Amino acid sequence: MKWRFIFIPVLILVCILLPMCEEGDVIDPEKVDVWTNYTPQNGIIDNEIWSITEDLYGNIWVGTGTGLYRFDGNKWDQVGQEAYVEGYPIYAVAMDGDGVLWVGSQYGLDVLVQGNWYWIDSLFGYPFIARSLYRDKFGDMWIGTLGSEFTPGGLFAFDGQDFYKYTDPFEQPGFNNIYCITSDQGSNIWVGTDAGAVKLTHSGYEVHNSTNDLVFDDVTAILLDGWQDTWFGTFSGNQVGRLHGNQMEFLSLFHNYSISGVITMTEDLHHNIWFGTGAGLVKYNGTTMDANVKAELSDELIYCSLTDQKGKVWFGTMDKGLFVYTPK
Amino acid sequence: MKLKSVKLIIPVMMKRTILLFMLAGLTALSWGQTGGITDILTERVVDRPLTLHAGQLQINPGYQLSIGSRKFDADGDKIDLSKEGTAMVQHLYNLEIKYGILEFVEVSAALNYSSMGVREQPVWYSHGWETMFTTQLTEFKGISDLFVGLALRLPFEVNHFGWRVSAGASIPVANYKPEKPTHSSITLVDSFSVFQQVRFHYNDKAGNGTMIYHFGTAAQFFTDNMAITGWADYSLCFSEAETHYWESRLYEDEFSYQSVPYKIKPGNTLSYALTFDYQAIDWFDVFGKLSGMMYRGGWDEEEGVRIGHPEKNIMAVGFGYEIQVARHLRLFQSMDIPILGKNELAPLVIYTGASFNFLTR
Repeated sequence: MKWRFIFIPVLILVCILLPMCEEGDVIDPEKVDVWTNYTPQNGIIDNEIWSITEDLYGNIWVGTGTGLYRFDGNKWDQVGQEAYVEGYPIYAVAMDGDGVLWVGSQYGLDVLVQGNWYWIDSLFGYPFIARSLYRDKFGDMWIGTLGSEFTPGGLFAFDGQDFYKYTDPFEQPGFNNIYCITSDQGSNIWVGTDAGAVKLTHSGYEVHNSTNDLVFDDVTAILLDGWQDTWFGTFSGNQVGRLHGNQMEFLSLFHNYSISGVITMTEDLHHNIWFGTGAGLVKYNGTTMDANVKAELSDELIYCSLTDQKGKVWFGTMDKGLFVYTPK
Repeated sequence: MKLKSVKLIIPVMMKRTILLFMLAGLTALSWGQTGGITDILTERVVDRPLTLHAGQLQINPGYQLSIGSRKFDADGDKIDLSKEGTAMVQHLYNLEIKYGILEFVEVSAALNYSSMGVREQPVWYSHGWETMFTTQLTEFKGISDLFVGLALRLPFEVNHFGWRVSAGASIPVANYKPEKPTHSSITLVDSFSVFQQVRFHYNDKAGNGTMIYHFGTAAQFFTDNMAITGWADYSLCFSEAETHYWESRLYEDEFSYQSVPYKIKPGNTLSYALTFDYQAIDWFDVFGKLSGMMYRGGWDEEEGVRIGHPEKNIMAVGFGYEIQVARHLRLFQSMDIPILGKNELAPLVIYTGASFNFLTR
């Protein structure tokens, strides 16, 4: 008889306690849909953020106006003070398939191999400005450079053994200024240049610029999204181009500024596309452009962006440091 | 356009007609079956035990209208939805069948059909000569999961006091995966402007997709014409459901969709109520109540990332009455007004129900 009276309270207690004993890896809902801003006050010495990448181990690397920083998820460390990566803007940073870190600046490339820094100051006999870096799905590193009176610029690649130079069309004026590199699912490489976007295929290349389906030539950002559409951001104008099949469509950024080009683009895990512009951040949810997604970033030059493996979206600004959005 | 409207109306009319026929049939049955009926069927509210009598069959159809004009935010502040341009309406039809197996043991089953629409605030976007206007309606429509339960009460008489424990499960029989949205877009272009109107229309379902277990208890203290009843029901589940949501992409006024899989584990819910009944006349009872719900736990998981559900609370005060219309038929109505809450809509809830009672032994 006693047991009957004990059984029911115990059952109720189990029901109450049971939910508390599980859900180990669940993220607190109050910690999502939030923004974090890293500045000199909480980790990064410089407010001027030029480049971001995620390495093979989940660390975030940030190139600033004055140095290189690594974030392991908990704390920031400045890296490479002993090398040439300190003291001038780091335009690009990426890790190749062998775990080698590549750091691009106006003085070429600094490469971190097994804890040692190496400086690559010239390619094919010329000094170069390493403006963009991209690791393709084979682990090869692509290097986009800027032309100047001292250097011809152009596109290069490193396959783990040798460097290669791509000549046509990247030796032509405009095409030798390379702002961005990416690839599509068909392993074609897309290159954004001052003279348009170039799609490198196995059989040759095709160009998208103002002579065919773009309004402006200065392609600063290219994105292949989860819907298999290709987006083109140009430094001029306030629209973005979307290539759907063979049809180009232009979408207004619904921006408050008449001239604010797209400098960077990233797609989050929910297939929202984020446009970093010369005057703020715009989010596209598949239908609408939201230019008020982060009031603190309106009027701000956003230079680089990244969606990491955990789904966090990172934005580097020119004046306000690094912003990180943790989505719902 | 007219043809579409007719097609939509017919099923709704059919449903209502069937429901009316069912109610009329049961009512006729209840008026007709008068011979040999004991007072068990006309028992006053304050005299009723917490489970049905042995052999008693009870059929409880009902209709609940919820009108959401406010919501509680994460800080518990009340937000007027009319100012935000958001509104919700829910029509819920429920059917519950109970049966007293023994004098102290009752089994029950319940099923709901609900139709809820949540309309979000319209949003305008404009830039130069381009304007976009968007509206969003999220519909939750369909039958719920099937609830089956067992309730036991104290197997001996205690003066002025009753106690009951119950257990049950919501069996995932209902559709729970959202249907493809039916968004639409129209663009009007003239010499000076471009106007685009976009209507988002999501079509969600009412099922949980996984078994949910219920454990409850109730206690009652009663006098000659008053009764105070408190009950609590705790629900939890041990497994997650695999479902999906729909992403959409607008391209030249045409939407395309793709489904994105994710897992969901419903959290734990504590529902409770404290009811004070006053039997004004033998066939008329009025009651006031304090009721509420607390939701904790639960998560969504997409691509290996689990994000918890926000905590939700709601507490409401309510009042209502019950009339013994005939030996077999009782009618009741109640209204609940939310007073406190967190992360939850705060609808005004009006419930109208009937209870058909029969003796099978």
